[in-house]
Amino acid sequence: MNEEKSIRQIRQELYEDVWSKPMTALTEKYGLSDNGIRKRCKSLNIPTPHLGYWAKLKAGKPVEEKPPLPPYDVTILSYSNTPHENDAPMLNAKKKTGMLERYELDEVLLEQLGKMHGLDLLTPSSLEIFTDWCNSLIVPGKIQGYHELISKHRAEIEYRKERDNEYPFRGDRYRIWKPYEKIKDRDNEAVLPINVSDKQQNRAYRIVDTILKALGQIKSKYSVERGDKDNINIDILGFGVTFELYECKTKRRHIKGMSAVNDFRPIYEEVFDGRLQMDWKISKYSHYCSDENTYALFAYTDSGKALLENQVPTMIFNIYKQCCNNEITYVLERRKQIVRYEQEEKIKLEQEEAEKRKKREAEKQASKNALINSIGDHANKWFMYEQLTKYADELEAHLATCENEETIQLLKEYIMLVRENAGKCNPLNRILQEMKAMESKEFD
Amino acid sequence: MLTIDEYIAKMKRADKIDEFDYSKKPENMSAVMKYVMTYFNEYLNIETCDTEMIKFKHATDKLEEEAEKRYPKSKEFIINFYILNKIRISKELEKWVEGVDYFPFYYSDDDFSSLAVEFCADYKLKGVDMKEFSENVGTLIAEIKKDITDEPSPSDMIHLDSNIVSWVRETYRKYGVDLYSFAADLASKYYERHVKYEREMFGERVYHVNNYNHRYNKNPFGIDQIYEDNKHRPFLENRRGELEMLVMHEWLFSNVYDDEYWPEYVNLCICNGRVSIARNVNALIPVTVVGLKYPDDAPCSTELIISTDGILKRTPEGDYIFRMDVSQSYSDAWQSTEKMEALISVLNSSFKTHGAPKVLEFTAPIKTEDFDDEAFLLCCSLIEKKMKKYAPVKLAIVNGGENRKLKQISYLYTIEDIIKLKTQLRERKIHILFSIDFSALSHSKRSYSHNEKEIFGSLTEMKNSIICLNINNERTQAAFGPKSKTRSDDTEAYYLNKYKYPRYDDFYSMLSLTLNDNQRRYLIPKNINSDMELEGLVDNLLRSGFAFCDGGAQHE
Repeated sequence: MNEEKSIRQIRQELYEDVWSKPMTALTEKYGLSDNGIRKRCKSLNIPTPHLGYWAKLKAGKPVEEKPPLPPYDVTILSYSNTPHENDAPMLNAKKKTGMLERYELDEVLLEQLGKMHGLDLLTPSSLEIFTDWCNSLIVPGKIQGYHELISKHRAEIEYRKERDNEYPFRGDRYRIWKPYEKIKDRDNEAVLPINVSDKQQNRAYRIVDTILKALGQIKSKYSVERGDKDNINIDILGFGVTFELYECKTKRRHIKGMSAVNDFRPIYEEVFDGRLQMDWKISKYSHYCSDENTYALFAYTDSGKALLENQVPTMIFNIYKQCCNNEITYVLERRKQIVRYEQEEKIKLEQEEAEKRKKREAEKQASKNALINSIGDHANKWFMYEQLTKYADELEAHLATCENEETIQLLKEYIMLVRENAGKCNPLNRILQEMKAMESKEFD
Repeated sequence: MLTIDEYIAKMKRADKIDEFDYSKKPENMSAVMKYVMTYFNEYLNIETCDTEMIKFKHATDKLEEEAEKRYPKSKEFIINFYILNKIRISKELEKWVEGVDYFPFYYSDDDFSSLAVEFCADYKLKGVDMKEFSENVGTLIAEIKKDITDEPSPSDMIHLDSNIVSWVRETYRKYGVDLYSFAADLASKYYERHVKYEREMFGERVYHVNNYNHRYNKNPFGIDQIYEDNKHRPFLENRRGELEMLVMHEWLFSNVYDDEYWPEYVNLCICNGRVSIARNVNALIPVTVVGLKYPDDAPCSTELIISTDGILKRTPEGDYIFRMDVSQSYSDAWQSTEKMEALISVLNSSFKTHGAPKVLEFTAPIKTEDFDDEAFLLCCSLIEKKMKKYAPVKLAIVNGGENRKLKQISYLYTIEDIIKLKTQLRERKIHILFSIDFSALSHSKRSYSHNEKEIFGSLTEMKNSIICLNINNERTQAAFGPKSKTRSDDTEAYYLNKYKYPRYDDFYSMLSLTLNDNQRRYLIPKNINSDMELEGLVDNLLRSGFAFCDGGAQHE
C-alpha cells in the first residue's frame, strides 16, 4: 500500500512537471530521455501535452487546456443493461460501460474507515455499475471460443484418460513393461481444478469460462501454478483467491431410480449425481504482507431453487465484496497499527524524559548532600581564613611601629605569605561554584 | 501276417531267449539281428504280402478296439463306414461337434437327430449319400456327447451354494449335461482372450493382468445371449443367474483369483433376484440399539433390550434380543443355582407377559479367584433346561472385557477362554451359543494386530456356535500390493486387474472370510452414535460380502 502511495505522489509530481516544462528540460531531473519520460507517463496514465504545445505557448498562440489527472488503474466495465436469456444472441444486447472507482482509503478518517464494510470501498456510482454488471453476467448456452485455461484442461483430461487406460497401474508401485509407448507416460500437468463427470463437463466449462472472463473484466490476474496438483490462483485487489469446481457424489441408495436391481452395482457406491458445487477460498490477508493462512470460504451448489449458472452473479458479487472488505480491514489494521506505533513512540519518549529528570534529581540531591557534608569543613576553613586575615592586619599595625628598614621589609614579605595562605583557606568561591552547578542541573 | 515286433516276440518265445541273461548277451544280440534279417528277407515277401491290406487290417482292428470302448452302440457303423470309405467317421464327428455351439447342452434324441441331419447335409463324400446314415450318425453323436461328458465333481464347486451344486449334479444325472464343464470352458475362453502375462518394468516379476471387467457387470461372459439361446432346455429354464454364477465361480477362483468379490457377488445376485436357488453368504439380521435407524436396504425389525434385573418393562414392537446383564443385581447368578433359579423365575414372568425373545443373552460372569467352573457349568445346564419351553429361543453368552478401575476381568476375556467354554459345553451337550463382542475381544490382547489372525482362526472353528456379532465401526484398511497366490512349485503368481478393484485387508474382510457360510446371525452395532455412522458400518459390511435380511428363518 505504501508503494501505491508513492506512485500516486510520483504521478502527481510528474503530471505537474510535464505540463510546466518541456520534457527535454526534465531529462536531468528524472535521469531519463524525453522519450523515456513519455513512456512512463503513458504507463502511469498521465496525459501529456501534444506535439508543438510548447512552441505555440512560446509564440503566444492558443494552446490546449491542461486536462485533469485521471485516476490511476481504472477499471472499466462493459455490460448489457437488460439481462437476456441464456441462449439469446449477445450481439443484439445494448452495451453499457462504466468506470469502477474506489475510495482512496488513506484519505479516509480512521473512524469512518472503521465503519466501512465490503463494497463501501466503491463510490456509490461505481457500486451501482458493479451491481448492474454482476447482474448482467450470464453463462451462455454455447461458447464459441473457450478461455485458454479451459482448452488446456480439456486436453489434459483427455490425455490423462488415455494414459491411465494405457498404464493402468502407473500410480502403484508396480509398473508394467511396455515394448513401445503408444502414449507418452508423464505426470499430471496442473490445470484448472475442475472435477466433474463427462456428462457435466461442458456445463462446468461454460460456468468457469464465464467466471474467468468476468474476473478479467475486473482486472483480476489469474494463473495456474506448475506442479501435479490442479489449482488456480486469482489476485483480486491483492488478495489470493482460489476455487474448485466439482460434481457432488451420492451413494446409490440415496438416488431415486438408481437401485441395485437395475444397475447391478453396490448401493454403497458413491456416484456423480449431477449437482455441481463450487468452493471458493479467499485469503484474508494480502499475500505480499502476511504469511498467515486464514481464509474466508464460500460454497455454491446446484439446488432446486437455482442452478450454479444462475448463481454466478451472486458468486462474483460476494467474492469481490469479500476482497473489498479484506482491503478495508487491511488498511484499517495498518492505520491502527501506525496510530498504535505513534502512541507507543510518544509514551516511550515520555518515559525516557521522566527517566532523565529522575536521574538529574538524584544527581542534584547527591551534590546537595555532598555540600551539606562539607559545611563543617567550610566553616573551619572560613575561621582559619578570618584568623589569618586578622593576624595579617595586626601584623601590619605592628609594622607601623617598626623602624628598622630590614625588619619592615622582611615583615612585609611575611605578611604577604600570611595573606596568600589566608586566601587559599577562603571556601567561599568553591561554595558558590558548587551552588551554581546545582542550580544549572535543575534547569537542564 | 505278423508285424515285426510280433515276429520277434514269436521267434523269441520259440528259441526261449532271455534278453536279461547278460552272460548270453552277444548270442542274444546276434539272434535278434537274425530275426530282423529273416523277417525282411524271407517272411516279408512281396509276392505273399499285401502291405496295404495289412495296414488296413491293423487300422480296422484298432478302430474296432476304440469303438468298442467308447462308442459300443455305433461300433458296427464306424467299422463299416471305415471299410467302405476309409474314413473314421467318429473322428470326423468329434471334430465337427467341437464347432457346434452349446454342444455340451445337447441332451435329447431330438437334439442329436437334428445335429445328425445337419451333419449329413454338410458332409460331402464322393459317391456317398450321407442321408442314409443319419440315424447312425445321430446315435454316434449321442455317444460322443456321453463320452466327452464327465460327471461334475463337488470338490470343484466348494464355494458354490449347495443348492447350485445339487442343480449341477441333478442336471448331469438326468440329462447327461455337465454344466460345470461348460462354465469352466467358457471362463477359460475369457481367460485366453482377456488375461495377459506382463512383466514388470524394473524387475523380473510376471503378472497375470486381467483386462476384463467382471465386477458389477450386468452381463458377464455374454451370459444373456447364452441363456437366450438355451432357455428352452429344461435344466436351464429360469437358471440364467445360476449359470452366470457357475462361470463367475470358475473365473474368480480358478482364473483371475479375485475371490474377495465372491461373497458380495452372491449377495448382489440374490438381492437382485438374479438367482433363485442360492442363499445369502454371511447373512446378517440387523438389530437396532436405542433408536438407531438402519438404511432402508437393511430392514430392521429386531431390537436389543438390555436389562439388569430381568424385568421387561414394555412389550417390544417386533422381534427382540434380550440381554441379561448379570453384573449388578444377579452378580452371583453364575455361581449359585438358587440365584439362577430366581433369575429364571423373573425371566419367565417377563416372557409370559411380553412374549419370548429371539435370543436370550447373558453377559459372562466376572472372573474371581474363587470362581467355580463346575458351578458355572451347572448354571448353564440349568438355564438351558428351563428355557427349552421357549424354543426356538436361542441362548447365548456374551464375552466381556476388563474393568481397569475395579480391576475386574470377564470370565470370557480372551479367545482361549471362549474356546475352552465352547469345548466344555460341547462335552456336556449344553446347547448355548455365543454372542461375540469383537471390541472386547480385540482389547483382550496387548497387540491386537499381532493376534488377530489367531483370533479369527479360532472363531472359524466355532463359527456354528456364533449367533450374534457385536461390532463397532472399525476403520477400513486397503490391502497393499498385488494379489498373489502360491503355486504348487512354491513360486508366487501375481494377479492384477486393469479395472483396479479396491482390495481390503481389514477387520471386515477377515470377518467375512471367517464366517463364510449361509447361516443368519444377528448384527448388534456397538458404540455407534448416529444413523450416519451406522450407515458406514452397513456399507463396510456390504462391501466385504455380508448381506442384510430379515429374521424370518433365523440361524438356519
